Amino acid sequence: MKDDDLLKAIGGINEKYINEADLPAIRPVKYRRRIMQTVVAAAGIALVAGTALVIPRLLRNEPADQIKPLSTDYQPIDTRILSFGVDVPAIDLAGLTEEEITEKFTSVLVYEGNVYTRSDTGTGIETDAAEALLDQNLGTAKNLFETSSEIRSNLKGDVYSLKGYGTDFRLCVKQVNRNDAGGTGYAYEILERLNGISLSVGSDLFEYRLHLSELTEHAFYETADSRTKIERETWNDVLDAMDSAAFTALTESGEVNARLVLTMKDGTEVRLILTEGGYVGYENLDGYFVKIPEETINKLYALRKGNIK
Amino acid sequence: MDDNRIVELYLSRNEEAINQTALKYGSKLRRIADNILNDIETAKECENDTYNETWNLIPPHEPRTYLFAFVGRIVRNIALNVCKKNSAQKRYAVHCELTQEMEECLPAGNDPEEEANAAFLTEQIDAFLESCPKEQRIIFVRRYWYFDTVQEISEKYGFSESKVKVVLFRLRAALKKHLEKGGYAI
Repeated sequence: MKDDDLLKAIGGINEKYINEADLPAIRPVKYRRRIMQTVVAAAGIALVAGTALVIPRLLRNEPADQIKPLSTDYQPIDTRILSFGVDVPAIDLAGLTEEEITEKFTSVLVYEGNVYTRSDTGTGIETDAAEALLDQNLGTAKNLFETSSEIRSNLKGDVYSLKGYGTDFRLCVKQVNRNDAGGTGYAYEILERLNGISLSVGSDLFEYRLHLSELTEHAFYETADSRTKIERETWNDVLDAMDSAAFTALTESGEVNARLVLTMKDGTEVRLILTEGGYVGYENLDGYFVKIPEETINKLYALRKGNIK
Repeated sequence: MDDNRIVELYLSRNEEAINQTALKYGSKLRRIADNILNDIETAKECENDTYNETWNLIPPHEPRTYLFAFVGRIVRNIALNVCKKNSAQKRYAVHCELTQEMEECLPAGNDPEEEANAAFLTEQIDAFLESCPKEQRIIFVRRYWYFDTVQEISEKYGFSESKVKVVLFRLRAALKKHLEKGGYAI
């Protein structure tokens, strides 16, 4: 018998053991109780120690704690083998003047041949949070028309990967701003690659790229005149439905009913649009949606009616 | 779509069966293959091959109540075969690590006839798992069926990595004894 045979034999074990190990993990009660005790104790200590620990760090302008690297257990499905999903065409900058590019996309970055465009994701991000998000310095962006360069942009600055996000999705340009008084400040612009990609199901975007399950801190249901917090349980149901629904391209989407605004643990914000017919899309990606079931959408509509607090 | 309906689609030779399997289990299958191969492109190929193999195997099989285990076994075998095929190139460090761990479970000098009896070996492992406490059994299955790393298991269940390593070490030793009792030793 060889070691490999044993691994293969384990493959044939009774399915009840396979299913048992596939159930969501429930941590031992003792462990959870210890967490709660720790939280209560830590809350008291934090009141006393908070000033001593946090303020000096802010004064020293040190970055916040590193964001834990995200798991990479999700990978997108290869749409070539499926009869559903969408291919978002790649942006072709050839033949466009700088003015046309700026007018069309505002900010553009080309990295390793892929085009990243401005997103509103990092618009409201605090400077400290943006600095803390930066990971590797990938190099300084050259002029957009220096086509031999691997990194080029109509923004000037160093290009960074972002902690927790793939470089195939998000990058950040850190721009230096000098004021008249001789001081220096920084501006951070997050760009996303949402073209030249295949999306089969929602999790290709919402998990593989945006990590919504792991990073969403609060979710809000936002209409023109109200903003209601979505309870965690409802949000989990909505996200499950979004993740497992197939992507579809809609040339004419229905009327926008509401927005789902997600504040993320890393300081960024994700905005989703909810249209007529139960379609959910990412605000930075026009025309591509997943359709979620009526019973799930009704939980959100109930928020509009004020039935759920 | 529930497993029973997906299996019905296979039985009626409706290609939607593959789409539904991919929708429901695609990411899990790819993860298992990637855990073995540590190469997402090859893992995707294994996943595609799994759909073809499933299409060929249903019918005659009808895994209405255990579709995930069924397709999971297929993707495991395909990925392990890829490893075996490429073992000369020593490309798959994860596989080497796992097979080294499994060596600890192997009683010395076995009867070739018994070696061939994979079904009997699986029965022995099933009996061993049945005798294990649930928590330990889950750790074993996550490591050697799903091929999760020790770190992934510790994060998922809230154990320290050292606890997971110790549990696995003891389980391997216990499995070795169990196999010896079952007739695998000379």
